[in-house]
Amino acid sequence: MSRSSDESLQLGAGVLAIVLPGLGHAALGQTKRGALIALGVLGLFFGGILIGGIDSIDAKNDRWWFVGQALVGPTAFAANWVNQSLSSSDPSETAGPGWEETSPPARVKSIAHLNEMGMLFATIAGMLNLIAIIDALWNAPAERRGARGVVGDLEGGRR
Amino acid sequence: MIWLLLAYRPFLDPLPLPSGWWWLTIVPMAALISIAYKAVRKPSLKGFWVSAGSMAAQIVVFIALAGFGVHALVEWIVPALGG
Repeated sequence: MSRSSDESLQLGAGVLAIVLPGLGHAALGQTKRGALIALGVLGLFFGGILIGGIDSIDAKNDRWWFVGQALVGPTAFAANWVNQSLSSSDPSETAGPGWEETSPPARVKSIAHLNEMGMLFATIAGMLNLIAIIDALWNAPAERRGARGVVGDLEGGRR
Repeated sequence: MIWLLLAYRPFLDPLPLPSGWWWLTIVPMAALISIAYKAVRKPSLKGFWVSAGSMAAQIVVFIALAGFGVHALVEWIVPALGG
């Protein structure tokens, strides 16, 4: 994990990468790279919500999945807030025996494979964003990326 | 099925995929993982889409091979060993 002196810590880029996937790289002038990171990470995250429904992001009932999903940043916390709000306002989840459904639920609880895939999509998005955050934090100048980046170091410098 | 589609609210409800077709979601998952990973990993973005497409294809092929291997183990090899 040796680094040369011109590979500096980019705290601002790291913080921006946490705020929104790809924003850290965009702030470093690597707009196209940042856009591709955003496409991959946010595509996975919202793809997960599309497949499993908003219930795929559930810090209350799927705590350990949410630990991974939280790495997407404030977007994950906002999605969880929406899910918890819908869940608490849904009478079908709080009503006692004898309650009859007369209107559609605020959101349908996802189960089985679709729920698993939805959670998996969003969790992988978080883990990939962690790699992007680390890369933005210790971003080498563009001309040196080929020599050895953070991910390259993690992989033992394998090209 | 048509009632399911009419009642479907994107991003709120789970996708109304026909039962048994959930595994198709592996394809976009592999594609998006490859895009995000290669965007960080590649020193230069030249040939990015070929590289990401190749990685996505490898993920899908190896998941399919792993699935076939587990299927063969559970359905054929273990019953054969058990008599």
